[in-house]
Amino acid sequence: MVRKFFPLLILLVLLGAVVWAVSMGTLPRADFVFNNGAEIKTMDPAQATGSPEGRVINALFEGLLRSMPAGEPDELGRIPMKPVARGMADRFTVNADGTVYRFHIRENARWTNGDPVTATDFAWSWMRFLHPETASEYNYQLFYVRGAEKFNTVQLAVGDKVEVELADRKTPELFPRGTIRRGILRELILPPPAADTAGTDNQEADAADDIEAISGKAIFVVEFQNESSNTPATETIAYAVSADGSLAGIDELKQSYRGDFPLSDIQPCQHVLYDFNEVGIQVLSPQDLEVTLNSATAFFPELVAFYPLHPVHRGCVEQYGARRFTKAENIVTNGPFRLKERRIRDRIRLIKNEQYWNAAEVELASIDVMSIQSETTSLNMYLTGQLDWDTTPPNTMIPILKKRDDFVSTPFLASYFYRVNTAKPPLNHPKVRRALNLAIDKRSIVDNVVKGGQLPASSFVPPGMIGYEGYQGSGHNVELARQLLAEAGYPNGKGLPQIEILYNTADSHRDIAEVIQQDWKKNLGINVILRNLEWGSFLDSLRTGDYMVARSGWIGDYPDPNTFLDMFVTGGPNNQTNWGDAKYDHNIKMAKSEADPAARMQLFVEAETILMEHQPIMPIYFYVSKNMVQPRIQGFHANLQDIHPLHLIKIRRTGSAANDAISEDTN
Amino acid sequence: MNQTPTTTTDEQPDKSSKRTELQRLAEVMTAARTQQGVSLWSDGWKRLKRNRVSMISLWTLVVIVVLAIVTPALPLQSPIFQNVKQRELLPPEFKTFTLGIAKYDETLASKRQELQAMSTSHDLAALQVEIEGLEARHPINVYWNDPNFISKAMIEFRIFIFGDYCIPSICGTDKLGRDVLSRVCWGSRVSLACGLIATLVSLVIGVSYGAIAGYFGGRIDNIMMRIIDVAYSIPFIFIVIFIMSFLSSPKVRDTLHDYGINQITVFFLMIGAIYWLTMARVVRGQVLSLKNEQFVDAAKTIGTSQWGIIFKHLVPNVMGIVIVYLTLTIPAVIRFEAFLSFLGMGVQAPDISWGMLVNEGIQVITPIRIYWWMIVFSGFALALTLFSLNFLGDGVRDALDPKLKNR
Amino acid sequence: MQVLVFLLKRLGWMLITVWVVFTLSFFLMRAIPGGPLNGERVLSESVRAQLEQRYNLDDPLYVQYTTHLWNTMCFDFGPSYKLQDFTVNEVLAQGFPVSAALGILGMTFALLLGMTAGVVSAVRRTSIYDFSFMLLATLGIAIPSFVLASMAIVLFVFYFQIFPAAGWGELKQIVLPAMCLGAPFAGYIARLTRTGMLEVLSNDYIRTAYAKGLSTRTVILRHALRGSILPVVSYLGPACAGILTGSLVLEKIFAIPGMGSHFIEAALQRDFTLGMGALLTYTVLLYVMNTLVDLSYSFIDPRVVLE
Repeated sequence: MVRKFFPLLILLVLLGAVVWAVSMGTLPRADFVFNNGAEIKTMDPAQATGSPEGRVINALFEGLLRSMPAGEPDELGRIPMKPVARGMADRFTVNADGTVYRFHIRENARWTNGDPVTATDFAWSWMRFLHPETASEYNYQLFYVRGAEKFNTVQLAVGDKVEVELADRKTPELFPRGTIRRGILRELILPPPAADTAGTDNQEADAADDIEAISGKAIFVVEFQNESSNTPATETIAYAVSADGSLAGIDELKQSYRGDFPLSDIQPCQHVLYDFNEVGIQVLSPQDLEVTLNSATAFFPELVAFYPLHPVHRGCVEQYGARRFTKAENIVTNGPFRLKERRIRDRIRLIKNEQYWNAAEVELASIDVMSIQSETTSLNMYLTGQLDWDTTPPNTMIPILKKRDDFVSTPFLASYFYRVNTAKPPLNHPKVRRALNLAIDKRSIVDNVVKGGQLPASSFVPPGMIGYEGYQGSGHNVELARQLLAEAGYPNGKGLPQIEILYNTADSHRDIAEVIQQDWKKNLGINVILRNLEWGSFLDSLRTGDYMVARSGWIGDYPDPNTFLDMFVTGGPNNQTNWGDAKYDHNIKMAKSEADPAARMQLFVEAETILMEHQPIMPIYFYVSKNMVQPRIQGFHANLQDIHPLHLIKIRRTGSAANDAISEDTN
Repeated sequence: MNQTPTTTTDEQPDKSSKRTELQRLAEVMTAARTQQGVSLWSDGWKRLKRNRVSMISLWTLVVIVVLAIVTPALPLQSPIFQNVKQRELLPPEFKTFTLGIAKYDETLASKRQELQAMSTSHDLAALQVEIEGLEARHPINVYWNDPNFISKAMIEFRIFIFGDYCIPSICGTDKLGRDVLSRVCWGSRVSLACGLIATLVSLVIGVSYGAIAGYFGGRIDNIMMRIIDVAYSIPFIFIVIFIMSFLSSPKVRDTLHDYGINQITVFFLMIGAIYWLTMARVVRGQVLSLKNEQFVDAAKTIGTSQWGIIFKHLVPNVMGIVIVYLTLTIPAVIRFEAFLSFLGMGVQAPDISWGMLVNEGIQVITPIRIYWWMIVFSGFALALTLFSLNFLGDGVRDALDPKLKNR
Repeated sequence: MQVLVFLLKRLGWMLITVWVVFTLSFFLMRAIPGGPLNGERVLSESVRAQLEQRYNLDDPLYVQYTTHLWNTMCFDFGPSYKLQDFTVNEVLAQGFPVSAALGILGMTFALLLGMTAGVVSAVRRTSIYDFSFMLLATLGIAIPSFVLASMAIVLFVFYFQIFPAAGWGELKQIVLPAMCLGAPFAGYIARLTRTGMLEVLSNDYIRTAYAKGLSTRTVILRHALRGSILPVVSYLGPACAGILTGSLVLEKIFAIPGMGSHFIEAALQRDFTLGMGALLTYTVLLYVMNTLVDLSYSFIDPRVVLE
């Protein structure tokens, strides 16, 4: 029997499967659909990095300030984006020396669950952002705030006020935290300095002005004030940081201790941190937040509007934990949109947040944030009307797209450059580096390879920073390049080992690398080989210095030269070229606290000149933003930072079909 | 299995009883061997010749392979020299194109003469440096990517015969202004080599593995086949990524280079090492059914070692089916290479493969403009080769399949 | 009973396979240069240390191995490193149905088209149908699926404007990728069916059936097809493996959020946990499909003994 009907059975199973497959949940198109490029890593503002994440988080959350088009249009007709009090704060003041900011939060600011947004929310969110266990990649952005770095990196000294998180957490998650006790650090018992003496010279130099960050084992003796009257006024307890409650390895420390505090009863705790109440983030009233900086920081409002500093809802985070609080059914937000649904590597569906303070001006009822990796696929979807905004049209198509009205392009704050590993001979010779740089025909790369109207770069900082006139280097000069190479001891490239260009797998990077390969070969007679690695390995090679010349790019976080030049200080984590220069480091450091804008910019110009004369990097071009936007979309403006707030986008309702785009040029 | 040569041993009349048994057997074996060569292969070849589609495929393949081999000697443009300023994405054209080597050589020669005529030592050094520079930047070094000595000889031969003449860009140019025809021709070398070398590797591994498993049988067979079962369920891509990224680290590459191995070779070997599984299964099945035949017993009787039996007697007898699988594995490998190139893990620039070219081609297919020449020619070359290999494979299978013998 | 023993045995072997795949890929992943914590910006040392602790990457290798193995046995693949809002199980739960739908549709398409073409070719042997079907079948096998897909896009998206260019969510969007996915397998199946059919048609019992006066349709559907289906069924195992690989490419071209996309991205971004989860899912899937094929084989052909 079974045998007889077996084919029929298979047929039925197949049929059922097909019906099931076809009935997969369908979603009608949203009002506005755009391609966000890569899949976002997270929706948690404190954990996010990268511009795709920024677009989503800026739609879901809102900081104290918001970057909005404001002021006069520049010579290209672009209205600059400025951080203005059109976010959670309706006004803010700065004191005379530019170190104290006072933000006033608007009365009608609401979370999606109806709770009011208060100054406490911001203080708590920033505490979470700075907490070492959160491990936020962007946390250095708040180090301009007094005490923030100390809190984050646990730089404690005897006499500091500290907060101790006792080892009584309910969940393994960071929040809700265990019981917090605040006291004064009386003794700090650290292991004796490590035996290896290789790096001691440097470390001593560092230690002169900084207290070393505490990592590894330590015993903290903390004195607490008791408020109730029937106990002694103070209580002193020794703590050791231990996540699992075991105190392994503490005995050695105990033995090395020479002081007189009895260490018989050491208690485990989760963290001993600098008291957050001492950090320059003070809640004055539910509506008022005061932020005190180390020194005047001109671009601090930009940072306040930057998405990692957007607040999160404390109750939501504490109830669901770090990962699950971003689920559509759990998340509580305060931005113009709220999260409806998220399909991984497909789309994020946002809908309008009716609780938003400015909801009346938000026009879009729903948005689909697509994550389509292939540039060609994305363009095809745009051209067939499936997308309203394509963020990554492919380079080959740019010359044709450029002629269209729906192509929105403008220079923006980003540099494409090659890092040079200055530790690898022959690249340790500055003249070789300069020769290589001069032999690249950047104009030709810009005109014929990337073709989007990018500017060939002879300096690192992109043009367009207000008040900054960057370094002007020399352009393409083969004769000078040959001469420099000869001076370096390699006439006609003789004796020069082959040079390797490393790039991450992508057609556009390969094209540029191939052109440069030919430039060096043709002009200097140097043998060049290309090596491509996929992203993961690429970053690793960069980090470990396992490369000679490597393709790089940098997008400015805010319109200030600091976001670019800060990278190449000696030993900076993003330097990665093994290059360092004391004068350069000095200038960058001075610029951070220089109050006079003109003098500050002068420091940056000097620094960039040093950078370009030593050439640890070879700038290739400055990016332009490339956006395809359907004609029916309004409120989309080109700007220097390529930021396009979604809540400002409007749709022209005059019935022009989405298929307009395709009919023009198909034939 | 009546086509196996062993059946003939019985038919040999025992004429001389005085000869030792051993001599007789040896003779029988020799006779059997010669007989086999005639019957199986020539018979198959005869039947293959009757199959017109297969023959067309065969000749197409021969032409493609010959073209690939002599590519350096053909008057093609440079496959890697870019001309982004004037020649980017040109549609097919018939304007003649010259390399400009002759002119370059002229300049070089005149400088050399000048050097010889020069008496003052003042400019001598400068001129010498200039000449060295010209030599170092000679077009041969720029137009072709580090050719090996055979290719270099062929390129010189080509320059000697054709001079500066190049076939015009009848297949258009790509986005960096390189001639598509030339790239397709040079790409064929990598793709075909990839298919052949990888398949040979899989052949060696698969046949030895399968024959050993099949011959020894029992527990060894069981274990060896289970290993294959397990290997079948391992998705390759992680292994490929692993080895590709490991290989591209300079340290490993330099070490390999000292042994004269380049990245492409390792890439070939790796794909080959992946494709041996099916081959091993097929060979094992065949050996399993052959090992109880009389010719194996005969070989045992005359004291042939086990390895001798496997590789001298059994393996030649499974070659028929092995060849059928070869013709099916080669296209599979070429396709796999294309697949890897699509994912960006195939051969690396400036080497060229068809997979890479096709991938470049589909990158520029959008409704606003279709650069058809970027996909059509490379796609055609790839499809034609795979197509021919598939048809040839079918033909060979039919020709060697005993069941179809009398049809 | 026999079936039960067979299934138990297969389960045992599957566990061994999964363990081998797990061990192999675990150590391969850790030997590859680059780890999951590499991002666009370099992490400061303290952040890196904190994250390593969060994901237990600071433990010695054998401890990582045993904990990970134990968790895997409990079907817990842990959090995804690069999709921080999700656990691996959640990612797979979202991706698997998508890929399954695509695969099933592709396979159905391949079976329907392939078997029809095969039967027609065999019955009308050496006719123009036979020739053109077999030409198409070989074409389907020979052309890589990404080339086929781009041609299909030009034709059906731009020229005829029947289907949307890419995406996932509507029936319309599944059709094109499923067809491109199924095409090479349709080719194989057509050829297998044709060969099998030709063999069966030359048997005596078919002649008997004709002699009884049955119509051609009845003879073919009732008697011949049954005999010729065996090679097709035995091909389904490898076909499943091929469908899985093929969907890697098609999911990329058509921007489909299935397992293939997750797998490729996980591999490229060193998302160890997600990569491992996807890998083991693939392994189990492949094994289950092969077992099912063997099982159905014995149902169709009573002579086949399960072992």
